[in-house]
Parts: sequence; C-alpha cells; structure tokens
Amino acid sequence: MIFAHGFGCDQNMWRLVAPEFAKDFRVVLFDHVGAGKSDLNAWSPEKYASLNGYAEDVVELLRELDAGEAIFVGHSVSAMIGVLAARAAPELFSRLVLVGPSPRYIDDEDYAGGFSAAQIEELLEFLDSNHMGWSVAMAPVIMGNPDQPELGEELTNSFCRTDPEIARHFARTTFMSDNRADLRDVAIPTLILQCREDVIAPQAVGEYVNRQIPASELVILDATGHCPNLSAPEETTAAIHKFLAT
Amino acid sequence: MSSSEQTARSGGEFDVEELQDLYEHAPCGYLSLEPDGCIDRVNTTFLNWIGHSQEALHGRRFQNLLNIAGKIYFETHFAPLLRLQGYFDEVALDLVAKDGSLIPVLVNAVEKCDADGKPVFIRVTVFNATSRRLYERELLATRNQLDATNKELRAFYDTLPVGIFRTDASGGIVESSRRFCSLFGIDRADEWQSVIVDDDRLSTTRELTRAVLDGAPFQGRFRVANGDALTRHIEMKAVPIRGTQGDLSAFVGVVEDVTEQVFAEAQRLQIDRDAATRQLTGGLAHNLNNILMVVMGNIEILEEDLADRPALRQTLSASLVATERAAALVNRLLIYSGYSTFRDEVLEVDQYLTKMEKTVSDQFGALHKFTWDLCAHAACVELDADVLTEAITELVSNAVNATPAGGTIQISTRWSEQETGDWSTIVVSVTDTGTGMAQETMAKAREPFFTTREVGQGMGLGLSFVDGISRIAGGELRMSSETGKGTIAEMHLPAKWISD
Repeated sequence: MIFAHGFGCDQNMWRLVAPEFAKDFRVVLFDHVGAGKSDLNAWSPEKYASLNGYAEDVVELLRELDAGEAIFVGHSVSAMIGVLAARAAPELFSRLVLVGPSPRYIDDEDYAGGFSAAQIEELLEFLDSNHMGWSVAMAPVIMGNPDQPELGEELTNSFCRTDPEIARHFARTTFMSDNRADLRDVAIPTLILQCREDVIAPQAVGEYVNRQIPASELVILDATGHCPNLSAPEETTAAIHKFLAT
Repeated sequence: MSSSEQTARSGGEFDVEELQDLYEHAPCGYLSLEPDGCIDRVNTTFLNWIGHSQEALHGRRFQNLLNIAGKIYFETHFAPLLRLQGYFDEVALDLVAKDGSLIPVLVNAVEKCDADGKPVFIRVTVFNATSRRLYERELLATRNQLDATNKELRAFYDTLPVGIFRTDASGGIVESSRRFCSLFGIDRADEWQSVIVDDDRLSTTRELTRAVLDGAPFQGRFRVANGDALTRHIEMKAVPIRGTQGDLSAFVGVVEDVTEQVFAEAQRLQIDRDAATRQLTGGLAHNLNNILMVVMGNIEILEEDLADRPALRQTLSASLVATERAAALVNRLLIYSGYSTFRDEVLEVDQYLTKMEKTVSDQFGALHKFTWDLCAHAACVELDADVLTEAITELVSNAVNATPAGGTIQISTRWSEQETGDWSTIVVSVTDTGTGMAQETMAKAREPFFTTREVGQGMGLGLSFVDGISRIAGGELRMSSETGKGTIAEMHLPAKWISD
C-alpha cells in the first residue's frame, strides 16, 4: 500500500493515516522529487514540467519494490499522478484511493474546476513575484522549535520546506494540468474521498471524477478543507478500510 | 507598560473591563477559530482592518479572507503545518478587505488541544505588515537588480577573448569565467593543471607555488594538450590581492590563448635566421668565388706555359678539376643565397621531365619505382635546363634516401589553380612514402650544410640549392612531412608562355 503526498508538503501528510494500515499491509511512504528529503539534484524542470514525470517515478518505485499489485493512495495532485501511473503500468496497481482529486483546476466551458484561468494566473504570478515573502514566511519554520530543537529540526526540515524555485514550478505543473481524458482509462476499483468544503477541489470536481472513472465510488467526508488526512484522520481511515473490505 | 496595567498586575487580578478592552483594541488582530478553521470570534482591531461586521465573519473560514494565492498556500502548506506542529509563526499573507483592498499581514496561530490531543480551537493573531512588506519588496527589487547586474557582468566576462579567474590564498581556483574552462578544454576549473603537457607542468606548478608563497604576481606560458585536440599555448597572468591587514587573500588573473602569437614569433625568428644564414653564406661564397676565379685563371696560364713538361701537366689538371669542383660548390652557395643567377631559358616542363625518366630510373631504379604524373601540359618555366635536372635529381635523391627499403616515388606536375585560383603557377613535386621528418628537422632542412645523412654521404647542399633556384626563378620551395608517413617537396614556379 503506497501513500503519495500532494503539492505543498511531504510524506508527513500521512503520518496520522498510514500507520493504521501497517498491520494489514506493507506500507510505503515516499517524498516526490523536489519535496521533503528527496535528492534535489534529481530534480529537473524538464522532467517535472508535466505530471507524467512524477508518474514515471511512481512506476519506477513500484517496479523497484517488486511488490506485485499495489493499492495506491494519492492526495491532491498525487491522486492524478496515481491515475497516470496506473494507466502507464496497469499491472502494478490493484486499487486506487484518490483523496481530493482534481483532473483540472481551471474552469472550462461546462466543466467547473473551481478556479478561473485568471485566478490561477494570479497565483502563479504571485509566486513568481513574491517568493521572498514566502521564504520569509518559512524561515522561522525552518529554524525549528526552540524548546525541542531536535524535534523541530526533524519535523520542520522535512515538512513544507520547498525550494522556492521548485515550489513555483510544481505549482505551475499542478495548477495548469488537465488530465480529464485520462480518467476513462482507469479500469480498477477506485475510491474518491471528497471533503465537504474544499477550496482546492470542490465537490463538483469529485462528482465529475466519479462519473468518468467506471469502477469508482465517491464518499463525501464530513471533514472540511483539502487535507482530511490531517484534519479528519479517523474518518479518512475508516472510509479507506471500508473500501478495501469490499 | 502603563501605570494602570502595573496597578492591575500588582493587585493580582485583571479588571474584566480592562481585559475586554485589551482584547478588542489590542494593537493586533485576534481571531478564535473552530478546529475546522471557521471563525468564531474576532476583535475590533481586526474588524476595523477588514471592514466586515462580526456577524458577517462568523462561521466563515479564515482562509476565505485571503487572496487566491494565500487560500491555496493556506490549504496546502499552513493548515497542514498547524496540524502537525500545533502552531505556525510569521506566515506572510494578504487579507482581502471588504472594499477589495489587500492588507499585507503576518499571521501567528496556535492550536489548542484537549487531554486526548483532539484540537479544540485555534487562536490566531494578525499583525499589520504593510511597511514590512514594502521593505521586503525593496529588498527583493534590489536583489533582482543585483542578480540582473551579476548576470550581465557574467555574460560580459564570458564574451571576453580571455578567461578570467579568482583563486583563494593558496592558489586554488574558486571562480572562473566560462572561457577559462573552454581554453583548457575542461569541465571543472580546478582541473586546469592536469591538461598542461608534462614538460611544462612541473615548472608551472613550481612558479605558481613560489608566487603564492611570496605573494608575488605570477606570469607563465605553458602548453596545453587535451585528448586529441591540438596543443595550444596558454599565457597566464595573475596578481595577488591583499586584505585590509595586508595579508594575501586571493589572486585574480587572466588566461589567454597565445598559440598564434607563439607560431608567429617562431616564424619571424626562422625568417631572421634564414636571412642571416643567407647573408653569411652569400658573402663567404662571393669572396671565395673571386679567389677561385684567380686560381683557375692562373692554372690555365700555367697549362699553356708548361705545355712542354708533361710530368707536371697531370698534377695541374688534377688541380684544375679540384678547383672546378670547389667552384661548383661555391656556385650552389651563391644560388642559395641569391647572389647568383643562371642562364634564362624557357623550358616546357612536362616535355623536359619526360626526357629525364630514363636517366632517373638508370641512376636510382635499383630498389625504387618511379611514377611520372605530368599534368601541366604545355606549361613552361624560366629555368636553365641543367639547373632543373640538378634540382629534380636532388629531390629524387632525398626521396630515395628517405625510403631505404625501396618503394614508389612520385614525380608530378600540375597547375596550382586549385590553390590559388589562377593559372600563373606550376607545381613540380616529388613525393615519397618514407621516414619523413620531425618538425625540428623540417625547420632546418634547407639550411646549407644541414644533413641527416651519415658523414661522407652528402654535404647538405641539396635542398638549399633547390630552395635557392626556386626563389631565383620567382617561386618558392614548399615542403610538408610527417614522421613515418613521408615527405612532399614542391617547387612552385611562375609559369611562362613560349610567346612571352
């Protein structure tokens, strides 16, 4: 069972959920290249200009683990990375769990992605012109917890710390992606976990994903926000357990 | 701290009204949120900033008050951070006020949990950061400008024809322009010493070490050979940089490719040397020639006078033969030095060489085969026939000597229009596939009395003669050779037409 984190943070996003499955499964956690404790030298703007670059890494990882068919749990943008990986190497996947997936963030004719093109442009422009504001914002976080310097170091250094250049690039790759056409090719049982009030992936998007993936099941969580894996770990865990039991 | 606050504290109790006022009008915004981020209550300071009423904000999520980038970053970065760490500090965000204006703020948040670790509520303080944001923007603009200037400067350095470098106090390269690496043909600047040719490396390293120890300027020339690339001559100059205490802190310097310069200098030296040799040879030969003329004249007179003494005549004619040989030798030296001319005769080269085929085969044909590749039909040169015969014989003799095991020697003629684009020059060449010559031998090959043959095998006047007659005829002798591959000797001669 492999857990993939989304845009923003690293594998710590799963720390309240993943241990619940360690009894029944071999649990694999990883940081995408460019995030957390990954080797930043392996990052290249060319490879990671599309989500396929990240999906290739997932396929490579599973091949290397040689663990047979995996249950892939992806949060946020990693939900779509899982869809792409399962499409590229179906033999490596048995089930998909998509937490707050969005195949396209920008509205398009009848499709409501939750953001207008202008809003995403504003986000990207903001990141381009204002990264110093962000790095200032992150500085005390990186410095850690003064009472428990080791804990602070361990926790904050591997969490939400991203090179501003890489963060900008990942934001662009994520928010400009359009993988709607890839959903139809998902042929394995898929669970879609959707929060009630999610600014990043609204409920309508979850419903759209549900309609497009033939063998999919949509569960609306009582949780709000974009990270039920942190804000409502019990509910999230229960929903995944239930899906795996069927 | 005001005196009333002190009074309150010393009393051990805060006045409720005073606390109320502290909450509502504190110099920072204050928000209480539900664990899911919904606003429960905010203070007056915050309401004044944002322009909304308490009722309008109640139940709204805090992130909904942010601009779009803030919303996304709050969801993807700061909300998770708060859950994982229990707090976040000094997060830079922009609030959107009711009138649509942006309020730059710094936000701190603490999550309060119950005994089981379940979040109960979140406290948020908001500080106005308008001036600070302006200051950050100034910093950012300055940094961007600095980056741009650096990039420009870097681009300028990279376009310079010289490589630029800076070292630390011990002489190790710490920074260099792209040209530095390309001059050496290396990827990393600190590899530069590894591509210096062995003969030059030790002396360069030694001088550099001395410069570092003395804190003195360094200047050196060395050759660089990298893989199959041609050997280049590089000149390096560096000056020491001293810190405020006068201690050596760095060297800055330039490297330049001086290969062309080195070749030009070598060529100029060679030309000077050739001219000097010719002058000396010519002067000597000219005076010797005058003396020989006197000797020969006297021998002729004596021959007549001693007609009746046959015993002495034999000695006399032996003297005459020896003197004539000396005269021929001196004549060659005169030709080499340009002091002599020869009889003008217009020769049709191909026709004349055809006549030479048999003579050459008879003279040299024991181990060697000769191919005659005559392609300058009807071309004529202004040259004495005997002189041409002698020149060809000398060149063929050299070629034969260079191929002691035997082989094929090619004698050819052609128009040089391929090289020069005109029909005014004809090339007579002799090519062998023999031992060839090293660069140093080539440089001296046409000097008089220079020979690589064993003592008694030749005087070393052959090529100087051919060189001389080519020049006198208005042309030149060109040679190319490669050790182990063979030699090509070409007489480039101006073409004459019979009607000229």
